[in-house]
Amino acid sequence: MFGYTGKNLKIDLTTKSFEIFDTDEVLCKRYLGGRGFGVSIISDRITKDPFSEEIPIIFATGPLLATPSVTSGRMSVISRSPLTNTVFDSSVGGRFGTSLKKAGFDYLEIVGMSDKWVGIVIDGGLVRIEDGTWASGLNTKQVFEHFKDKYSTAVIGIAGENLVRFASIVFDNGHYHAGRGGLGAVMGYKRLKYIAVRGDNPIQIHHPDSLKTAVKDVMRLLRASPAIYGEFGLHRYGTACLVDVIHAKRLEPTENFKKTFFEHSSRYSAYAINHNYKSISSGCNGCPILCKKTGKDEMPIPEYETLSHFGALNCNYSLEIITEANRLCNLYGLDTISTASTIACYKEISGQVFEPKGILQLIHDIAHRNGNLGFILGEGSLRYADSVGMRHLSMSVKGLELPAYDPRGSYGMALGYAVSNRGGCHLRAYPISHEILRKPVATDRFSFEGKARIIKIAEDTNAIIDSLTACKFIFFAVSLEEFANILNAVTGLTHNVQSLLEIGDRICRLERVLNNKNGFTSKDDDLPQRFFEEEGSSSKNVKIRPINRQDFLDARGRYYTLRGADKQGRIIIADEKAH
Amino acid sequence: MKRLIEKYLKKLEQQGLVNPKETVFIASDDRVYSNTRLSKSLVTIFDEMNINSLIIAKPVEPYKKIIESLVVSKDKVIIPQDCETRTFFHDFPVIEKVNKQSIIQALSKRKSAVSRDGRVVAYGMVSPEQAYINISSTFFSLFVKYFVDRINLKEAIPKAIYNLIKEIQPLNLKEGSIFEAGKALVSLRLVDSYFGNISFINDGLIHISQTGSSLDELEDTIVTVPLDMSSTNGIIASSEFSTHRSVYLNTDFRYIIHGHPPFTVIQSMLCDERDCVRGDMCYQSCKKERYFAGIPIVSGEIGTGTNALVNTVPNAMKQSNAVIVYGHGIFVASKEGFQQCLDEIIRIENTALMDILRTKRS
Ligand code: SF4
Ligand SMILES: [Zn+2]
Repeated sequence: MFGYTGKNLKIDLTTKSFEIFDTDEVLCKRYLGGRGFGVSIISDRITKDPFSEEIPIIFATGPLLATPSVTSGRMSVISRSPLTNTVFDSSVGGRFGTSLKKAGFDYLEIVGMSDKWVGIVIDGGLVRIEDGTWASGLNTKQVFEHFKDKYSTAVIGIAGENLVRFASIVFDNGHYHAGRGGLGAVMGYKRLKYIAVRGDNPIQIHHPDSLKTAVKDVMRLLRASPAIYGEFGLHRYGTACLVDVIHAKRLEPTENFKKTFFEHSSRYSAYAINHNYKSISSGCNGCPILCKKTGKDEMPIPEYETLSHFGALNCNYSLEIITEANRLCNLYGLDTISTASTIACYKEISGQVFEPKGILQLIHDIAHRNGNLGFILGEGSLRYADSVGMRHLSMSVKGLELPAYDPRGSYGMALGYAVSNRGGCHLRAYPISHEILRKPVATDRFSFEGKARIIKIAEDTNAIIDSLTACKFIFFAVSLEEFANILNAVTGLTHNVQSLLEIGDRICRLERVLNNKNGFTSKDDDLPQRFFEEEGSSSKNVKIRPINRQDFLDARGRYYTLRGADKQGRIIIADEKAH
Repeated sequence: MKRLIEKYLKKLEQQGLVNPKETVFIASDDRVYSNTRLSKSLVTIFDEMNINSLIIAKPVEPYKKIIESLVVSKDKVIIPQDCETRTFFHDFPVIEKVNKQSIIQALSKRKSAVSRDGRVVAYGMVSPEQAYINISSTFFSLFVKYFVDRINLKEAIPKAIYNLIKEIQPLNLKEGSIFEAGKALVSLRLVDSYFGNISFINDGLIHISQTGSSLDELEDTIVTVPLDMSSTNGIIASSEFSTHRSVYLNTDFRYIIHGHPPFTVIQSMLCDERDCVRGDMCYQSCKKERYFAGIPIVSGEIGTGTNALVNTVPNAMKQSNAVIVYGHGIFVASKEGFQQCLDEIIRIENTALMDILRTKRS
């Protein structure tokens, strides 16, 4: 099997046993890898509680991983989210996926629950479940330092140990995260503190020469792309390059989404960061874009969402506080978007005014679940707001806090957030690409015209990217056309754009079916009412109006038709067997 | 959707590319819209292809004759030689018949295809505009390829085609604004509406067309970027922003136009050098000093990178107000205004056109 190792590892933490078995060829054909593998594998257990022995957590690689393809260092972690209760996948970079695949496994599935803290060490084909009590209570950095560079690691912090519902899994040196949806808490429930892996088996490539040509085509497109290699692009500034343009377009979520413009955001823009920190670039294995930036002592420089949410969303313009908040979230293993948004929600509901430093104290309290406040905020903004009768002030979809693009300034994003199978996520369809960054072409950001189909196709495309596994950023510049060639060269298959999109559609449909099984319907595919009632921060030239509810519902209806769902958002004809 | 179909069909007509009556333009959201009655198989094409829009274009002259003559040979694929189309399209498959199956097959692999009967098919994934762009770029690329091939093979240009090519008439801008200049470039066919870029500098601020903006619709798509780079909102500026900035930093010019005038592009690709080892990589790094009508021709890829035109064009502009980029287009700069840029680009294009037609017709 070219592009795959042909073997998988399943570990049961209850019995401390493991088995190695062959990769199902039908699974590869129908679901490719990564996210596709994960949602298919979890499908027969999706109604189990995220905090239960039965629910699996899956670390899945894809056919391009550990090959000379471009941005091939990514993989996906899949489980059921304790924050949203939906099926949940998280794409993660770094080198963990590469190491896992080179250790000989297409995916690693973990079930059960240990009676005491454990760690998993995979050394080539050798698998060990070891005592992890030494690591319990340690922050993520302390655990990395234990393994140094000898292994690639996936670790939870104190937040995951305390089952904070938006705890993350932190990879390698703290730059890479399975950030969203609380997958760190799933690991925490299983009392699995860390996984360390290494391996050096090469991956077989079907046609190395065609792969070289296909990669060359991609590189040429990357160099032609302003968003990637341009003077302001990701390569140079990382995602911080978005601060200024999102600000200028007035879709910058401010004060828990009460406003859409924060006059001080230039204080933490890419330019400001470059002035304050001497940053160096790094990135995931096999990536020429290198969008990650680090300051002194390998300190990760915050990404766009973190900057904006610990900044504008919390009315804070201190870059120092943002950077420290980011550092704490990394150490404790917390998703920065949900953390910042939950704090902003708390600020609005309680009416409390506190110094920017107060943010740092709250992060600490949430991770440790200190006191009543720390406990309830650790449940996420929706459960917290609900507990005080203010559900509508949680700026989330399906309980997942919204990222840093206000939907009133990006209607594709409005629809994308609402129908996303994992809740308020910008990455399922990433309409910012055409509505703001004008790629591959610009679309009217204040119109729902044509958006249902655009969102549907983009969701399918992204499902493929997450299954290949590749990085979404590269798709600012290239399309599935180029990646079909790469995939074919690696595997010897004969895919084209349309055959890939079919798989993407299959994955997205299956996810919706799994959510339907857990009771999700159109009532969950919706936005907080604020966006339909309140105006954003308009200027002389740009009006940020409330979204017309009927237009939104019509677009959502069109999306359902295209997705093969009924008016309640339930898939009409589901694939009988997941695989 | 209907509105967008009409808009882009009209643009294709105004650019002198297609006959709208014989062209099919289909777009879809949850249902299918079109400019004409569709056969059943075309209606259902969107069930099988996850795309947003599809155009089956019937060219008008001179494209009609040119494309027809390009598909006479039995080749199954046409490889564009100009740099820009090559970067984005890689190649154009040739289909024997325009039917549902052949369209699906060809467009599952490429953004556009040419049929043996001379029609061109292209799709858009995101919007009808994308299908329109793909069609017009394909036309441009085929046009350039036709002339370059003929001349390289020392074949004469048939009179029927020769007679269809006209010199460009000068045009006076009323106010000389960036909007007006953009519109003039498109209407004179010095650039496809979607490609090219334009800028001026004032008080340390560069005002430049956004990436993927139509030069004839610049009203809401100029972005202002500080020369000192203190804001990154230039991420939505034209992909050649760095080249414009570098020209402003290294010269006294204050206005820049970048267009793709076809005959200038064709001239840039005609090289007599026999012993050159570059093969087909001329667009990347040509070591030879070349000129057309006194204007330097440089190599350079789009965007950044060591072989990028950001490293060749600004340098050449220290000595010349215009620079031609191999297989791509031209940059023209001025200290006074866009009118001077426009006059110069027209002069060079007309020289290029006359040179080809005068010496190479049958
Ligand atoms: S662009 Fe960034 S996130 Fe994507 S693969 Fe490269 S380094 Fe990783
Ligand atoms: Zn150009």
